[in-house]
Amino acid sequence: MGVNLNCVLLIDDDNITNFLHKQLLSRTGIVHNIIAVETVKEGLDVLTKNQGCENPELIFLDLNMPGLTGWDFIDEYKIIKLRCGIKSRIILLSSSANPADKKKAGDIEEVTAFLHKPLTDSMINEIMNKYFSS
Amino acid sequence: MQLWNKYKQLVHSNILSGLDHEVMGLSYWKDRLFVRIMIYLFPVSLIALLPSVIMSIISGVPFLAVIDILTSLVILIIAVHPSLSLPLRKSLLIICLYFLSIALLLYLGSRGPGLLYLLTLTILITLIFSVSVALLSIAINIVIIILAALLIHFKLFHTPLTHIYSLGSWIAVSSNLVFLSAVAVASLRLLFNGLEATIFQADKLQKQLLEESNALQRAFRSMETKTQELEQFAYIASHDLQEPLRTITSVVDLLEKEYKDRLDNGANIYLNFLSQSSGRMRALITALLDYSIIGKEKKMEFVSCNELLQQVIADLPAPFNNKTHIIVNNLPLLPAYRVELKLLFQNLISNAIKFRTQNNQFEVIVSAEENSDHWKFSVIDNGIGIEARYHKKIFGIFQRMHPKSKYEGLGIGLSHCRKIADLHGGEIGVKSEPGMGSTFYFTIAKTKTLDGS
Repeated sequence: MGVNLNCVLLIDDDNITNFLHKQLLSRTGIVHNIIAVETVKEGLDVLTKNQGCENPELIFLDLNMPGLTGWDFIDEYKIIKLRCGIKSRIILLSSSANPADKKKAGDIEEVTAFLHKPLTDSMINEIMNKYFSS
Repeated sequence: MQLWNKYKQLVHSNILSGLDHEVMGLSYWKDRLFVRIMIYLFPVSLIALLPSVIMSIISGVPFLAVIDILTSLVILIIAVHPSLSLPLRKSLLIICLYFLSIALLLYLGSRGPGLLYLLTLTILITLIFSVSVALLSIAINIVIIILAALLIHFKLFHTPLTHIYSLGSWIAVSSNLVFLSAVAVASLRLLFNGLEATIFQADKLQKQLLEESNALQRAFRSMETKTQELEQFAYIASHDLQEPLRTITSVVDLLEKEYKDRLDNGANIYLNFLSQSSGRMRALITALLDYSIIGKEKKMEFVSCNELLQQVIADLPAPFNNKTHIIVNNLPLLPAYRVELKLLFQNLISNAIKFRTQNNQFEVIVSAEENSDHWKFSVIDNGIGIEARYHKKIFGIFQRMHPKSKYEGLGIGLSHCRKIADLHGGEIGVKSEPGMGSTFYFTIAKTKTLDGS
């Protein structure tokens, strides 16, 4: 499999999860640029401040984070989307199976999918086939 | 006086024995009224009896005297006989009084109180019986009047009535009785119906209220059980989870000690992650366990908050463990859970230290304010402050505002504080702005006794 995606953004407050997800994505060799951040604020900075990845095709977003949560990120993202015309797919990665969260995610247009941590090879394959096959 | 009380008690228990009114409705009050009438009727009738008897004998109508005496006797029997049923007592009284009225009517004519008695009887019947019986009594009055009219017209036998009245004058006089009886029954009926509606409405409301309060109590009990179950669950879950976790951490420790040199760089990174994660998990589970245990062994005692704060300050790490940094205004002596209250202050002050700014000289002010039903404590710091949107969230369990890399912590301290304030029947909250420091306040409900009630 060659390089399919230019940039993927990982937002998770747990550095170990970020490390593992980054490893996993690098191994598949489908992503050119992987950026991992530990806070929502840093994630928003990636989208708005020129860091070489203003328009990631895919954002893996953790929900439960200290301070600003994944939900807050989505709210800010909606504004940035209108202003800058970026278009990313957001995949929520939750460590809990709270049905209320899943339902809430289903009602948000910007959210592509709601998955459980951690990412696996088969999950990546499925995501690529479902959303990024030409 | 003692005799009178005994007599009253006797009549009361005689007449109302075996009666049980579920709702204190109209029929209940009618029966009570009957009892009251029966208590006073005999003694009062004695007052009327003596002059009547004397006058009857002087006027040459001894028969009337006999009827008067008989009536008083019957009244006495109705009042004191132990085993008559209530409707029978009522009926006997009415029949007896009707006889008296008719006799008075016949022997005394308009000079006597015969018509007055008939009117009084109808009112009495309306008071102690139902409306239909009252209507019947009007009908009986009419029949008596008609019979008297026939008597007057055909002069069937000689009574004062036939001497005094012509048919026309009798009809004129007696029609007043019919009119007055009808007015009396109609007005009393309106009054009674209204009263009865009000009584039943009140009773219905009372029953509804009782039902609602019962439902509320049930809900409260079920909530209490659920809370207990939840606490138990947290306790058991965290306790049992610790077991396998201990094994994991032990194995990871052994692996690190014995194989560190033989593993390559990547494996060592993974091992480090394992050790970090299991350590954090152990801390989280311990915190959860602590949370579920809070208040389990609570003991209410008089706590000197000044002394408590001195202990808390002494336990702090240097350089914070002195009075230049932590100012304690005069605090009260109050009934509280000492161990828990100390934990609350410890948490708030440790937070103040943890989230201090580098620019300001670190300072915390602890004070208390007395209100009518509670004490309000404040812990004011000059730290980094908290955005308004997090003011509620921070008291949730495992809620953290900062990434681990910036501020260590599990996000459990303030949820402990909230639970402790809750134990004391109080509330906890914060007033803060970023950069402006924070004021954490909590309340402790005043209790009169040491068992917390």
